[in-house]
Amino acid sequence: MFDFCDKVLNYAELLGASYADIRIIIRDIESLYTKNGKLENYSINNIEGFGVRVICDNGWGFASSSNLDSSQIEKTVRKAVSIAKASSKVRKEPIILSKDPPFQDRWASTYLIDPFTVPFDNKLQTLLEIDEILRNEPSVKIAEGYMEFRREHKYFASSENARILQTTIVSGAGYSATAVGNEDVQTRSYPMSFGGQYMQMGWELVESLKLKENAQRVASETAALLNAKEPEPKVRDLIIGGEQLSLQIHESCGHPSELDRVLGYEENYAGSSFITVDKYRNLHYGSHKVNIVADSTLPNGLGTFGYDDDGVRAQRFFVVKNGLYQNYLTNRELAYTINEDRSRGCSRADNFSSVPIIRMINLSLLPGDDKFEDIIAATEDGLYVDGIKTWSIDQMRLNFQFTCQIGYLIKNGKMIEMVKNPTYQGITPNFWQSCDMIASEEYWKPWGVINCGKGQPAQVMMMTHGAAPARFKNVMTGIVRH
Amino acid sequence: MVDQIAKKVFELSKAEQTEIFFYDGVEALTRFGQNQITQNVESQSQKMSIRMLDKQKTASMEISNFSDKTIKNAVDKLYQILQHQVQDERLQPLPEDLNFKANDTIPESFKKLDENIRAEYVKKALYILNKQSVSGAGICSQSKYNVTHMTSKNYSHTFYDWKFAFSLSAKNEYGITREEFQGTTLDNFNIDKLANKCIDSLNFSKEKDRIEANKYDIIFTPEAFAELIQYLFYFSFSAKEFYEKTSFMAFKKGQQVFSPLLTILNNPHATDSSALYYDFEGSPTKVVKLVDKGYCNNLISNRYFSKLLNIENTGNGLSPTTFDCFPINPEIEGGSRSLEQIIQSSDNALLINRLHYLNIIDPITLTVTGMTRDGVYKIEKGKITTSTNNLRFTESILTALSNIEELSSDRQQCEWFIGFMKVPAVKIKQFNFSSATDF
Repeated sequence: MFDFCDKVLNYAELLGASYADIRIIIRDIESLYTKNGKLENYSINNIEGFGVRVICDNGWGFASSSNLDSSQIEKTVRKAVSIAKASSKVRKEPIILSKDPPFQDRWASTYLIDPFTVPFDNKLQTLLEIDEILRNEPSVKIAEGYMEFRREHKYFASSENARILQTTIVSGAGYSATAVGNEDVQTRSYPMSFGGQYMQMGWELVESLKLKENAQRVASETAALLNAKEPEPKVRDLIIGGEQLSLQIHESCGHPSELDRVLGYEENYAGSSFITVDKYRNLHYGSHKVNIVADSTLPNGLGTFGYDDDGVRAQRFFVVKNGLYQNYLTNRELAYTINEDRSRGCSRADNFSSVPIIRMINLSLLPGDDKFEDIIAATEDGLYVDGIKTWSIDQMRLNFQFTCQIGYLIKNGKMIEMVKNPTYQGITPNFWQSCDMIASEEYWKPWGVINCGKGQPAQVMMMTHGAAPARFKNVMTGIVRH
Repeated sequence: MVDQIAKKVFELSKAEQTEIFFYDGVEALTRFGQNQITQNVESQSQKMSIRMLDKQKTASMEISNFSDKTIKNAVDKLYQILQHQVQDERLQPLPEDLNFKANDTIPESFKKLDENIRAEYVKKALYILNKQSVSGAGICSQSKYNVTHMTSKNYSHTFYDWKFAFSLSAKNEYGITREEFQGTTLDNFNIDKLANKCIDSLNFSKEKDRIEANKYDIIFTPEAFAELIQYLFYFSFSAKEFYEKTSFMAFKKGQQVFSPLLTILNNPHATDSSALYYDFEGSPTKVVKLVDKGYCNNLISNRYFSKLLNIENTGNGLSPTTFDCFPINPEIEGGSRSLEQIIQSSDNALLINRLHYLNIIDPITLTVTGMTRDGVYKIEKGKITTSTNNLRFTESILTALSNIEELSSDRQQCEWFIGFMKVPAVKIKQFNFSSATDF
C-alpha cells in the first residue's frame, strides 16, 4: 500500500503541491440489531478507498476515491490540486503547518479475542437471551439489542516522509428496553444509550459488560418510570452520574475547546465557542475541583491512536486544570494561530472520503476523592440523574439543557423517589464553577461516544469520556413551562 | 456498469432472491470562515449493498470494490452467513418486473459548476460583506448521485438527485444572521441578493433589547419552522410507531389535534429534490394527506404494516428488514398572505430566523427543546424594531401547532433529516421559552 502512497505523493509534487498527504482506509464492520426476539438487521460492510490532501499556491485541496485501483491516482490527485488552486483565490493568510516531526511507524490497538472470529450464533444468542429477560416485564413492549465490531487498517503517508500504518479493533454492545403505557413511552439503556458501550477492545469487552446480569434491573426500572412523575421545576443541588456527565463534558467542554470553532470556521453550521482567544489561559472555567484532560493515549479509548490524521503523535494534556482553562484542541494547520509550535494532535477524519478536521480525542474529568454514597448523604435537597436521553446546547456552547433517562429526588441525604424525564439547564462556566464534589477513582469509568457529528460534509466520530459522578450546587432542574 | 455488476451478483448468488442497491455519487463542498476559504473537498464514491433472501432468512453486505474476485468472495460469504440467520415471517418478497429510470436531466447551470465557480461565488459574497465591515462564513456545495435498485426478479429502478447550496452567515459587532439558497438549478440563485439580504438583516441588530424567558407570540421563517416540524414528521406518522404506540397518532388518529389552518401532505413531487417514485421495496409512492384542516387522518406505510393494520400501502418503505417508513417529502399548505404581510399585521411578536440544536424530550407530546440563532427580532406595531438575545424553547409541537394563527402564502423548500419538505412561515401564539442566553 505504501507503493500506492508514494505514487500519489510523487504525482502531487509533480503538479506543484508544496505539501501532500494520503490516507488509505480499509474497514470491515459487522453489526447486529435485534428487536423483540427477532434479528432485525445483520450486515457486513467492507469499505475501502483513499483521500488525498494537498497545499498548492497557499490553498488547501482534498479529493477522494472509493476505488483503490492505481488508475484512479491521476484523476484524484489532479482534482485535489485543482481544488487547492481554487481555494487559494480566496485566502488571506499564509498556511503555516506546525513543526511536528514526521514518523515512520506501526501502531495497533490491543485486544484479547478477535471479535470477527467469534461465531455469529454466539453473538445472536447473547442478544436474544437479554431480549427475553427484558420482555418478561409486561410493560416493556420494545426490547432492542445491538452489537458492532470494527476493524480498520489506516495507511498514512506525507510528502514530509511520514509513513504510518495503524490497525484498530473496536467492539460495542448494549441494549435498551422501552415501556409503553399510560400514553407515555420510557426507555432505559445499558450500559449506555445509543447502542451501548464501545471501546477499542475485542470480544472480551462484550464478556466484561455483564449484559445479561443487568437486564432484569433495567426492565424493572423502565416499567417503574411509567408510573413516575416529572420533577417539579426548581433550583436544587444536582448529582450527575458518569454516563450523563460524559455527555456534559463532551458538549460543554469538548466542542468549545476545538480551535476551528473558536476561530469561526464552524460559525455557519455548528457554531463557535465562548472560549474566545482573549480568554485563552485566562478563564475560570470551573471550580478548583475540575480537572479535564485530553488524552489520545488512554487505554482502549475510542479516541486513542498512535498518530492523528496529520501524523502527529498521540499525547495527553490538560484542557482545564484546577478550574483554569489551559489548552485548546488543535491540529497542524491552526496551532500557529495561538502561537504554538506543535499541534496537540487532534486532527481526525471519519473515513477515507473525509478531510481531517479538529476533533475531540478522549476527554475526561479526573476523579475526585469523595465516595458516591457520601455525596448523596451530604445532599439535603437534590436530584440524581443519569442515562443520556436528550441534549441541546447553543451555538456558543453556553446555554444547555439536558434530559436524562432516570432520576431520583434526594431529601436529607437519601434517594427517596424515582422521577421521569429529569431535566436540568445551565450556563457552562457557571455550571462547572458550581461543581463541589467529584466521586473518587473507584467510581470513574470510560464512556464511549460513537455518534459525535461535526463538519460539512458531515462526519461522525468516536471518542471516550471518562467520568465519575459529581455534584453541582444550585442548578435549575425540571422543565420550565410559563 | 451497474447492469454488468448486478448480472454478476445474480449469476453467482445461490439464494432464492437477491437484490442490490448501487450508489454512485460525487459531493463537493467549499467552506469558508474568517473571510477566506478554509476547506475545499470533493469526494467520489461508489458502493453496493447486496441482500439475499432465502427461506424467509435474509442478510446483507456492503462493498466498495467491484473486482470479479471481491464480488465472488462477497456473494459466497453472504450466502454462508445467510445459512446462519433466523427465519422471519415478516420478510416480504423482492419486487419484480419493472424497468424505471427517473428524470436525470441536469440543468446546464448545474453542469458547469466546479471548484472555480464555487470559489468565485464565495469571493463575491465576501466582497459585498467586507465592504460593509461584515465578516462571512458559510458553504458553497454541489452534489450529484444516483441509486440503482435491482433484483434477481427483473426489477430495476434508478433515481437521481443533485443539489446546489449556498449558506452565508454574516457577522459584525451588532450580531449575526444567516441566509441560504438550495436548489437543483442555479437559475434563481443571486449571490448579490443573498449577501445584501444578510446586511439588511444585520441593520436591525444595531439596537438590541434584552428579553427574558416567557411565552411569546412568534413568527418562524420557513427555515425555522422546518427545523421544528421535522420532529413531527420523524416521530409521528409512521405506521410502525402507530402500531408500537410510540407516537401521538396511536391515541389521536382521526381527531382534530391541530389548528384548522394546518393541512399537511406527503407528496413525493412537492419538492424538486429527493423525489422517489418507488420506495425501497419497489412500491409506488403515493400522495397522502396526513393532516386535513387539523385532523390527523392518515399514516405512512409500507408492505408489512399495510397488511398488518389493513391500511393502504403508501409506498414509503425505506428498510426491508426493520420496516421503517417515513414521509420523505412532506408539504404544508400555505395561507393567503405573505410573510411580510403577516409581520405588518402583528402588533407584538418575535420574528425568529433560525433554530439550533433541537432534540426531543417526549415522543408522545412531541415536547422538544432547542435554541434560537442567527437573528431574533422584535415586531412592534407591524414593524421590525430591534433584535434581541437568543432564547431556549421547551415546547410541545402538538400545542404549538394547535396555536397556529397564520401560515404564509410563500413557501420554501428545506432539507430535513431524510429528505426535503416544502413549508411556509408560521405565526404561533404563546410559544414557551424556558431560558435565555446572554448573546
